[in-house]
Amino acid sequence: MITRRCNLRCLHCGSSPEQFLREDMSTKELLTVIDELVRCKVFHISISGGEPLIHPDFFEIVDAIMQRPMRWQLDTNATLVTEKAAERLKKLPRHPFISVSLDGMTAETHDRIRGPGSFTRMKRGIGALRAAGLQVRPFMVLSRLNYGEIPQIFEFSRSIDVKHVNITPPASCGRAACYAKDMALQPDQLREALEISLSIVDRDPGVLTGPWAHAVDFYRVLKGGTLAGVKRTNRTFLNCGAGRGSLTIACDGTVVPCDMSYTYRTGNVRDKPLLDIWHNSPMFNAIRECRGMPLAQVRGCEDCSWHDACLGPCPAGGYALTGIWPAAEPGCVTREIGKLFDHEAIMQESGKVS
Amino acid sequence: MSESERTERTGVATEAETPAPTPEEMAEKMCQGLWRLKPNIVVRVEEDGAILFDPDSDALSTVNLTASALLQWRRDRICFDEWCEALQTHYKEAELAQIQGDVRKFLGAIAHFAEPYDGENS
Repeated sequence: MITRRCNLRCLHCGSSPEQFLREDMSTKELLTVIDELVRCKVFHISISGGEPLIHPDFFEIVDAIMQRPMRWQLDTNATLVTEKAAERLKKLPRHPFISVSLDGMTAETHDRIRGPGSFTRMKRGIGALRAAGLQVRPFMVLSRLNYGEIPQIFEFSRSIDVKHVNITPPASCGRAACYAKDMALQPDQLREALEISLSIVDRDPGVLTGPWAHAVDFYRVLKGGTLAGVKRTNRTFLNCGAGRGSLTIACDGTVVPCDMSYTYRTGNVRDKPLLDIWHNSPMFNAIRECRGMPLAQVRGCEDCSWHDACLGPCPAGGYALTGIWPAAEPGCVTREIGKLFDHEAIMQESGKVS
Repeated sequence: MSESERTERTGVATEAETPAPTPEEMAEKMCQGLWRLKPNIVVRVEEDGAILFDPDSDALSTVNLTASALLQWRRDRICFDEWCEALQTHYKEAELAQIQGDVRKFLGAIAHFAEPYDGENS
């Protein structure tokens, strides 16, 4: 994360300027961090923000990455992508994987979430990237404000030859925390969003990626009425790769497991070498020790009926909302999907009553 | 349409028309002469071996502890005979055929990350 600054004020942003404890790192400090990542033999990095393209030295940072043996991803809202910027990205020896925020296929919806004029500028930015021959992957934060436009987003993606669309439920932190109640899908909306997504995935397997893809898979299983044949998770907490295979360095140098867990601070690269934080932070080690933990011991999962088919909750969301580690976030999507079904009937059909 | 017809029409042989050599074919090729890891290849040593990463192609490969030790010993001089000899010295009980088979398999796994080397500047 190279800057906290952004030209938009999205309702669902998982970040908010107040959460950072120190000022943003200078470009010189950012370049030092990149060198440290090289020393740690990190293969992939994501450049995000705020909006990374707002950073005055964005291309200086990118050029530094190009001179190091690593691949990179750009997370952008695309509204600041000009033809010139797209051409410059195209000329790089290693093209970025470009993730573009796309929260609706009408100006009304997209602008309601991201601010006036953002839809037109986003489409212009995507157009510039595509004209330069660069691949993009839409990134949609799903909410009650935009779930009805899922089909149009996939239709648009097909029209620009995009192979994957990443969809995720809203974050539980940053600005999003203030709007969570207004954005969460109600049960009937959740079912409708899942049905829409299921029909898309059935037609085009693999096109949907991200956390919502797991939710749709889970929904498909329960809709089938049995857990027979489903790979059992052994009721343990498997957790995502955050803190085990990846981490986030915030713009102020704070090291956190992922960009949804800014309150879970493990150290700061301004104070300590990254490798030291990675290996020795008690908080990182607490994450690693959670792997394999019975779900019955995870706060908020104890009374959930779906341990058999669940990979465990998003621990970042749980910590952001409860301050407890490990904990499921209230409103865990697996649990909410489970509520749409008759648990006992499914377990009986599976030949196992829990 | 045959490969030659395609080449005739387009004037160039594309990548799709020339199948990439299999790991076995590459391993066989690497058993001859000197090779080295391409300069930009990152080798990350882990507790149970190493991960090789090519930033240009985004390719990743994992190798076991023995292969990791060999790469740390000589990433700039990969020679089938020398590596077999080194392993034979270390694993005195092992049969040469077994060692040669293992080294061949290992070379197949790292072929993507290696380039021929004339031995100069070593």
